[in-house]
Amino acid sequence: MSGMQRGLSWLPAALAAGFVFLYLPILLLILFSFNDSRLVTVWAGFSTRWYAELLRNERMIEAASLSLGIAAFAATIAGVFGTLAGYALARLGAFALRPLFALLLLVPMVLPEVILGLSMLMSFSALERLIGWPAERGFLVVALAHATYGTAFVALIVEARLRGLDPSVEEAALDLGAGPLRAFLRVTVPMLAPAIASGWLLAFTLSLDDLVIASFVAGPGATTLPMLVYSSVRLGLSPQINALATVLVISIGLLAYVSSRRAAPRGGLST
Amino acid sequence: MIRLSGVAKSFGGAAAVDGVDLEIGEGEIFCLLGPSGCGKTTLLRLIGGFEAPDAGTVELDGKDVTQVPPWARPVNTVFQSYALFPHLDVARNVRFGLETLDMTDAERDARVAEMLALVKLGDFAKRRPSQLSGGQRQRVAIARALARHPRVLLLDEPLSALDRKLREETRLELVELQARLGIAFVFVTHDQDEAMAISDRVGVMEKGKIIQIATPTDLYERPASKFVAEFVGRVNLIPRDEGGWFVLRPEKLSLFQGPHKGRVRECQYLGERRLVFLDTQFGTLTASAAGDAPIPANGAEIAFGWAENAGSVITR
Amino acid sequence: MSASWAARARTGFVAPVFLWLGLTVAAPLALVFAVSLGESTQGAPPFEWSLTLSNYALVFSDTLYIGAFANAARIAATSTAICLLIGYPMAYAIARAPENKRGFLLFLVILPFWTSFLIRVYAWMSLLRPTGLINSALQSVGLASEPLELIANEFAVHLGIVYAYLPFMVLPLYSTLERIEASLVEAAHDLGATPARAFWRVTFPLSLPGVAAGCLLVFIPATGEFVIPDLLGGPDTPMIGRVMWLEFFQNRDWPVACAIATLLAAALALPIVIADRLRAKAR
Repeated sequence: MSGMQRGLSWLPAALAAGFVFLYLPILLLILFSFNDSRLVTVWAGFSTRWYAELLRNERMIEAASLSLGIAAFAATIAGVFGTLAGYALARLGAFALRPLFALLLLVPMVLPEVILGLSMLMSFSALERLIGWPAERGFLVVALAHATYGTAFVALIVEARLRGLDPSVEEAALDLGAGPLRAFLRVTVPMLAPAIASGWLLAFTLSLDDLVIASFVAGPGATTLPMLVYSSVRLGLSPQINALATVLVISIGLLAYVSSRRAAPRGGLST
Repeated sequence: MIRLSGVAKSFGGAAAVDGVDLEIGEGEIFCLLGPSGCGKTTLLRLIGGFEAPDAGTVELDGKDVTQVPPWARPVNTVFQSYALFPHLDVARNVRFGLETLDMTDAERDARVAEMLALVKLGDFAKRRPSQLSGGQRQRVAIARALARHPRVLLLDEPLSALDRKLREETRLELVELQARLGIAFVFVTHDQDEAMAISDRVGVMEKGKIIQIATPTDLYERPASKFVAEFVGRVNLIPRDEGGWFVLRPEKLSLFQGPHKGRVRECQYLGERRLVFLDTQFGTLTASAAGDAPIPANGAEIAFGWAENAGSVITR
Repeated sequence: MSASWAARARTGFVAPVFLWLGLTVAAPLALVFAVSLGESTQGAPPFEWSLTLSNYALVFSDTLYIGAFANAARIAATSTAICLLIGYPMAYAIARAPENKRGFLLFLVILPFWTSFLIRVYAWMSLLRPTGLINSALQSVGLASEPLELIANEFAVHLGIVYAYLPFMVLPLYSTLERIEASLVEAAHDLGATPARAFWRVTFPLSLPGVAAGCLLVFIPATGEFVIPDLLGGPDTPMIGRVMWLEFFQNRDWPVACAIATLLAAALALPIVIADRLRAKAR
């Protein structure tokens, strides 16, 4: 919709106010990460001391590297299954049990995280009793739980992108001598590359961000970054958390920006 | 060459193709003509192998290929949207189909060059599809489909995405290309001009059935039914006392002479021709006169008639 | 495609994903239900398989649980309404912005969703605390003599939910509003409708699918929310997500936690199904 319409001149102001609401708390958070005071609320001059302290905080560094590893691993598994799932939903028509298939993809996206976390712990615990694995719930367990969660989001993005692509391009591959697997790998996946990349990135950030599921499934030995942040936040505010938040917000914001550029449909591809 | 016997296909209970028998010969340009939704594209997809029929068989060169998947049929398709691979350049698009054939890389490169020369796109090998015009994309699609040396080329509405001038030029080129290659072309269109202009034979489809297969001339002069008569060109259907209709094409109706009288309702000037609409005892009839013929005044009562052998009779 | 090759290809693609979803989604949820019928013990894991309904009986007989369900539904509903009031004008403004700016504005709406949830909640903690920025600002200009209680109450929970879930409201609203032809509103004006009448009689009714989708996308996760009531809420109005968490981590009562989870999932099943229908219709 474009063009001037009467009586709605206040709309841009409402939008601006909405953005202030969304961004002001984050900007203040960033600002106070450069505050030279232990008090998070009183400005005492510019300083980068909290960043230096953050870098010296070994528990924080350890948790961050654990979380990054988990996120990369989880996003990759989610990327594989999510791409296959999105392809199945967009291209394979009314296969057997399709409604159940779609439901199982929807559930992780919409059920409250507390239920998902609990359910995954129940299954890891049952597995341990059954086959003795996983005896220690660490990296792999959290990554698998996050991959489950991420699969649904990758599938959503891939399915939406595939619906915008002309299916006869893939039929052309079959017509030109490629079997279904070859057509999928040589034509479908390359065409989907931007969507798969942004799905991967979304799964990565969701994993990096997750507190609830990780808290349920992780054993005592594995503390992810959000778990550490959560326990220190519960004890009180700390400028180090502001510094960490700044690092996370800026790096993830940049990644999101890059991915939104890449995922934007390029002209004339699907005509 | 191609033989369809009793082929039927339905989607969700609705019959798209309903018991089609069809034979297409070596080196023929055959056109499936019909309105949208008549099942012509489904029929093409059945030949290409993208759909499997619910009943009936598809034979190619005397072999039953009904259950053979598209990648193993000696048939290639030019898709309506051209379906070029957006992530591959023109040469790689053409080369795609050669990679699963038993050839050396040098032979593949030579075949790609040969195909691009055939469609006069030799200079565009490194372009991406998004950098090509509509006409160029279509040529890539044709080169890509021909690269595997198919026995039959299927074309789904090949001209519909082109503008009018380019469409007429491409018609000529398609006919020339077919004559050079000598393989059968089967194409689908809803545009009767296109079908008449380039086909050796036309199959007219309605509601999943082929209701007439004929040369363009026979189709126009001797339509098999009211539907065909009305779908192909302009027509006057004059009801007969003994049932059925007399099919009279507008150019066969002569003005100012004949046993009947009619009142001129309207004249439309179309350049080389002029259409005259007459209110008559048979309803409104259309006559087509040369553009420079005398013009009757609107509302004037004039005589008209036709020769006994000027049309044909249909009963359904 | 009913060809045998197509059926084989379909199986090849679908079966691995089905296996994965079965193992990671269906089986765990079934286990939650199974454990909810078990009995709590002192062992490790702290329950034994059984077929008792006593955990459900406990949940239904204790006003703490019932009240927490009611609180969660009520707080989620009011937060959803506030989200709609804030989000609708934002979505409408983006839909009416020049086409080349919409992408960027939309990106600004989505960006907070990509930044850590925990950190966004933390940002409000530092604003709302008794010694936080808002209170110090109010006190320094003399609007308040002592710190206002801005945190550890329902107000803060509402604020947190609205803040965290606003993008979920704006996105579906935008996609329906963007598809409404400007010429429809112009036609309404042409036929004598004032701007207000054109909005309520044309634009708003056409945007209702987006309103419904946005409301459900906020309401469903907000109902089961744990982090926001835990960090911003107070003890007076427990919400069910947090109650379940405490049942699990503090009381170590797995069967009761599972019974609560089962009931919560069952309560959310209907809104989830409606949301899914809306999503399927939207394409």
